[in-house]
This record gives sequence, C-alpha cells and structure tokens, in this order.
Amino acid sequence: MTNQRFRQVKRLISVLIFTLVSVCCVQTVSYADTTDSSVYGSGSFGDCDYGTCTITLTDTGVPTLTVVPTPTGACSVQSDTVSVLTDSTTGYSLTMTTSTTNNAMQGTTTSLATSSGTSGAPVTLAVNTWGYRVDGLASFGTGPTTTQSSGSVPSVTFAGVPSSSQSSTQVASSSSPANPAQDTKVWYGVCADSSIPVDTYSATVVYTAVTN
Amino acid sequence: MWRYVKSKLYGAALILAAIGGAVSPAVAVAASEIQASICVDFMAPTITSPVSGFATQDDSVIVTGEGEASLPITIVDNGTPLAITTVSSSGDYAISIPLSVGENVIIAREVNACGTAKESGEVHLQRNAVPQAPTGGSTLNQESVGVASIASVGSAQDLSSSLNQPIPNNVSTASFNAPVIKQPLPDTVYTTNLVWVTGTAEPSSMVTIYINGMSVARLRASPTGSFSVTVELNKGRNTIQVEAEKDGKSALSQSTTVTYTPPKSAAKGTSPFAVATAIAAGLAIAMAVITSDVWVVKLIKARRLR
Repeated sequence: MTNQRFRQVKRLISVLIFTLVSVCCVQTVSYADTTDSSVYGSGSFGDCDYGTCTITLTDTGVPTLTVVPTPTGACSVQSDTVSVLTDSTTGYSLTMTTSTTNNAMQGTTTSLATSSGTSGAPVTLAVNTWGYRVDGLASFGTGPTTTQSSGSVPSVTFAGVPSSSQSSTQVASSSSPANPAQDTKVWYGVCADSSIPVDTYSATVVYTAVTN
Repeated sequence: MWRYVKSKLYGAALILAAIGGAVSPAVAVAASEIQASICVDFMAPTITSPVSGFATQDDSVIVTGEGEASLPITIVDNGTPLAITTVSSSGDYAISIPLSVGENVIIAREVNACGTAKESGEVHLQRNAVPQAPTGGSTLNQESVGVASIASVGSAQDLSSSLNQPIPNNVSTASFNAPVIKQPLPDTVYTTNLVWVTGTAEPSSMVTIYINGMSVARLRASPTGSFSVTVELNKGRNTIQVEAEKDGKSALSQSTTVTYTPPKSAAKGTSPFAVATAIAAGLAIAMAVITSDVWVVKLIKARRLR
C-alpha cells in the first residue's frame, strides 16, 4: 500500500514538474521577446511578447477573370496580393480555403470545378476548372506567372483550393516578424471551353493568418 | 490525508496547465471573392435603318439593326448615349431616338458581361428645321425648329445598369402627365415575342419601359413626346408599364397586359392531326418529285422522307 502511494506521489510530481517546465519555457520565450533589444545585443528579437502579438491581414482583391471561351478552351489568370503584418518573433502562417464546403466556382446553372492538383503536386489547368498557384511555393515552381486574358492554357501549374471542410492549404509562412508587411502574390487561373454557359461564376476564398 | 494531498497536487497541475494553455496565437482572417465572367465573342452590331444620308424634318427616328442576342445595346448620337434596349433573342433591335437639328452621327454600341464593347459603323443623318410659316408671328416654337442638343439618358458606363431594375416606389404624378401606351393594345395575344411599344409622354422626358415590373428599355421621348421601341416578351402574361421622368417629376402609365404564346411546332406533335399533316406533306413531296425530270433519284428520297 505504501509502495502504491509512493508510486502515485511520484507520478503526480512528474506531472507537476512537466507542467512547470512547460510554463517556464513559455515564460522564457516571453522574456526573450522583450521590446528592448539593446539589453540582449543585436539578436533578432521581436517587438512583442508571445500571446500579445497582433497580426494584420489585407488583400488587394482579384480582378474579374474574363474568359471568351473557344472550342478547345481559353484561360485567364489574375493575381491577388495578400499582405501579412505581425511583430511575432516566431513569424506567421498564412493558409486558405474556400468559404463554403463547395470549392467549385458557382454559376447560375452550372459550376467550374476546382483543379485536381495540390500544392505538392500541382497540375496544368484543365478546361472548365479553376485553381491557384504561388510562385516558388511547394512544388509550384518559380514561374514567373503572368496575367493573361482568354489565352492558351498557361504553362505553369495550378492546384485546387480546398473547401472549408478540408484541411487548409498553406500559401505563405515565416519564422521571423513580418514588419513591414510581407506580400504574397496568389495567382488564380480559370479555363473554359465553349460548353460552359455564358454567366458569372464565383467562389470566395478565405485567407487565415496565424502567428506561430 | 493522502486524498487531500492528491487533490491539491492535481489542482495545482491543472492551474499551471491552464496558465500555460491560455496563451493563444493571434489570428487574422480576410476573404476575397474570385469571379470569372464567361462571355461570348460577338460581332459588332449594325444599324440597318436609317442609312447614311437620310434627311428628315421629324424630331425623332427609329433606329433598327442587328446585334448579339440578349446583350444591351446603346444608341449614341453625336457622342451622347440616347437610348438603351436589349437585342432580342433573334438578334434584332429597334428603338426611337430624338434628333437634334443639323447633323446626327449615330452608332450602336454593345457591351458584353466581360466589358468588351463593340460599335457599329457611323450613320450620318440630317435633321432639317421645319421652314417657318409666314404667319407674321415672331415666336418660334421648339417643335418647329427642333432642339439644338438632346440630353443624354445617362453616361455610357451607367446606361446598362438602368436595365433590369424594378419600378421605383417614389413615382410622383404631381403636375405631370402620365405617359400613354398606344401599342400594344391590352389583352393582345402574340405568337411572336418581339413587339413594338409605342406611346406618348412629356416632351423630351426620360422614358423607361417595364415588363412585369422590370426595366427592359430606356430612351428619351422626342420633343413632341413620342417614343417607340421593340421589346421582347416573356412567355405567358406580360404587364407593360411606362415611366416618364422630367425635371425631377415622374409618372407611371396605366399598365397594359398582353400574352405571348409561342407557336407549337408541328414536327414535335404526335397528335393524329400532326401525323396526318406529316403524311400529307410526304405524299405531296413524293408527288412533286415523281412529276419532275429526275424522278427516279428523287423518289428514293421521297420514300426516305415517308
């Protein structure tokens, strides 16, 4: 019985020590993140404490992708510049999904499916699909991607935007403060052939920036 | 005693864990709408009537032509957009515009949903002033000499937004004559969907045509108050109303209800009458080809038809 109590005390003390160590580590980071960098020399210390940092996210919006389809398909590409501003010393992560569980671009009677590609395995845009790409991210390649209107299928590859019920896809990240704001250009492409009814199709993407 | 120590230890652990977990990262969210407008490529519209060189003393003219079906088309006179309507599903349009005295250079402009604009060639018209009757009077009335310039129905950019709008609620009729629809006549049943809407309104007032409560055309009445435009009817009942606006006042016409009943296609019919008609047609063709010089070959075709 004594041994059993001893083991229980030992286990509880272990839990307590582990918790204390965890909190200590957090506190250590907090101290390291003090605003007075001169105390610590010229290290890359940030301007705010963990947990008190703010993060700001803005984007320019995407110009309407106008497509005059051809029998074999015509494609348009436009970009959205997303800006993240944070003093978090550990940086940030920028992800995105569509706003709904349906990641197709919805028209009145029909829709344009999102690309079958992923950031790890992007693909050339297929007709009657839409997708995104970020130059230099994951397996997208460096590009450079350029704006086009009702042109041929772009040589660069695209990925589908995950729906809100799927895991978000990361479009940018940083392990250091983003001040001044860091811009990420997210390119959107759409291809359509003559089978697609004349209409306006739309989808809403939601960007989420989180401090690390 | 042990229970007391155990509960205290667990409690402390939970508090410390809570303190550690209370520090959460900052989050920012932004949404962006991605829009794709799929549009058709289209031919530039044409003006088939009037033709260049046309001269008149009338204060208005009906412009007709062809364009891409179902797109809004604006008639521009001397650089000023004067009227807008929608090209019918068969690719035709017709709308009246007031004319200024002197030269009127008109073009038709169509814009698709992607913002691509295409224009017809210029048509040069001449409106001549009516010679003054030697009455001895010195007062010139506006109708006899026309007007030097015609006010626009809106900027070229916002004209298309004047279509597909509901009838405004604040139509006031104070000291303002309501427009009158002369054509179509009430309760008319049409088998074609393109009809003329003509009528009278306050001279030079802005006229908007509504079908089933939604605007389908906007034009300026002539200096004598006439207006004409072809509109496309919806299948079934169509309630047509006209609103006229001038000098901050507006008035709504009485409504005129007409019906569009598309003709039934004989080819699709399976009724005994339709079958009999088809057989008769087949026999007629056979008879016709048998009597022709090359009847052997055509007879085979006739059999196929039957």
